[in-house]
Amino acid sequence: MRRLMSDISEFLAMGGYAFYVWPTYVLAVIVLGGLVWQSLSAARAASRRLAADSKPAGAVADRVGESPQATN
Amino acid sequence: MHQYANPNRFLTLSDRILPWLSGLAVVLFAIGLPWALVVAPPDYQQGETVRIMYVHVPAAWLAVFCYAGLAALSAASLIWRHVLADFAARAIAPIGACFTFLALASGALWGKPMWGTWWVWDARLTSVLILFFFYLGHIALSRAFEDPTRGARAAAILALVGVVNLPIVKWSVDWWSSLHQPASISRFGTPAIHPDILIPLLIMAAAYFALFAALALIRTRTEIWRQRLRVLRLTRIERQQPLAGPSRPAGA
Amino acid sequence: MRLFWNIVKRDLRLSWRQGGGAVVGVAFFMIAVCLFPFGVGSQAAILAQIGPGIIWVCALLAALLSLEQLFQDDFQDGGLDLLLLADMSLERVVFAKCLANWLFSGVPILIVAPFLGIMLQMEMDALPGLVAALALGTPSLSLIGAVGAALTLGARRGGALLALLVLPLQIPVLVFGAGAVEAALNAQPMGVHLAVLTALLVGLAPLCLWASAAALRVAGE
Repeated sequence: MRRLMSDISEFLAMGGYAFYVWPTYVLAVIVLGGLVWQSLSAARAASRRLAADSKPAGAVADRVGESPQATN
Repeated sequence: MHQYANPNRFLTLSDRILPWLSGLAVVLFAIGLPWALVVAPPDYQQGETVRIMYVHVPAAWLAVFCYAGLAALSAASLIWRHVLADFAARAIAPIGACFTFLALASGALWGKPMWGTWWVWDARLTSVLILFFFYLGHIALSRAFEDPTRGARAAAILALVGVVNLPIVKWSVDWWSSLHQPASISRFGTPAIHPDILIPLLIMAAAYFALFAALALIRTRTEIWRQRLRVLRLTRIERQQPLAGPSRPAGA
Repeated sequence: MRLFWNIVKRDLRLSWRQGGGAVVGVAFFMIAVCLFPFGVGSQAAILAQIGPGIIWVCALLAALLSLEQLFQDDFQDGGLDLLLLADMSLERVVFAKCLANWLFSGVPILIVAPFLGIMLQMEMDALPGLVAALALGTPSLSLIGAVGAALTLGARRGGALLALLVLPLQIPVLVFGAGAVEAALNAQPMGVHLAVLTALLVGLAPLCLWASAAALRVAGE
């Protein structure tokens, strides 16, 4: 058990460079993950708005420029 | 409806490809990240900081590759007036900017333990910094006009000017860097390409590429939907113009 | 040919009437350069070392000022459409306007720069090199700037956007221009630098003229 703990703490220490290696990976996750999240939510919003607005004119309130909430 | 023929095909195609592409990206990262962090050996000279390379180098490759893609799409947009090229260009510019930023930040985190300073004006990092400005300009210009097509065309011209200038800028920066670099700092080199290091690097690079492809498809679809929404709302405004009497179909 | 020079003369006349002459652009150039001693201290050694860079960076920034309205008036009063229909190719029209822009904003910088160099404690021997480098570099600044001006015609936040687009593209000119002056200061040959500046000017000109004309056509649609 102690061997495992010391292995893990050695791994986390990254040979003394932990301050540089870990922030790099964390930053990569934040930047790339954030990009993925933003891309997906923008896609979802756009497709929902398009689906809602594509309904026949009677079903959608004739207010210019407003985006009705998705009904699904 | 002819103008929508191509985007339609793109939407159906991307709909089918996207799940596989996303899955591929996830699998590659699932393999690459542990390999880079745990399995790969530390470098003889750089120690554990070589692991930063697995984040930094693919990011730099993607940053340049994205710009090349942007240039190709710009040429297609200007030569063939291809609407899909405009959508795709607007979609991938922010992706490229993100990769460039990641390359810069990870480069700084790599530079500090190596050379003792957070930022070094070496040729490669400085060129990537300038590339970042190219991206920012492209993103800003494409969104600076009421008419998105005007923005797309202007940004396309800018991207072509940029892609020709990029080698010139890189060459100038190389020359400038060799002039001012103090003797103690050697070239910002990657460690000797040993297979133990090369393979995780290539896996991470493949993961980045798959991620880029998936994001490019997702964002292009968003642009297509947004454009459709715009057109839909414009024609609806036109139909609402006659105030008296029941609405009649738009003449356009 | 007459049309070409007519455009040049007309642009010069318009700039003169509007901008209070070349004074404003040059005044900005001088003020910007003179800010640096306040920022970095007035020690001769420091100023002399960074002098070439200061003058060149301020030249780039001063050039920006005159670029924003390079095509603006023609765009707003409809003259752009006339130019698009003119007998001369649009690229030559852009070339004429760039020439006028350089004569109006670049040449005054050439005249004032040696004096600023002296104030920044540069050696007298290096001053001719300074002027030569600026003479070869500032036309490129006008050409590159024209691309930015054409692209940002009628854009939101056009001025700031123009700077963001144009400044990175002008870095090679800056690098070799400042390098030329530094070589002159260190009593080294500046032939290479001047050659590169000339090559940049000659090489970038077709690209910039094409891009500016293409951007003007896009704006006119």
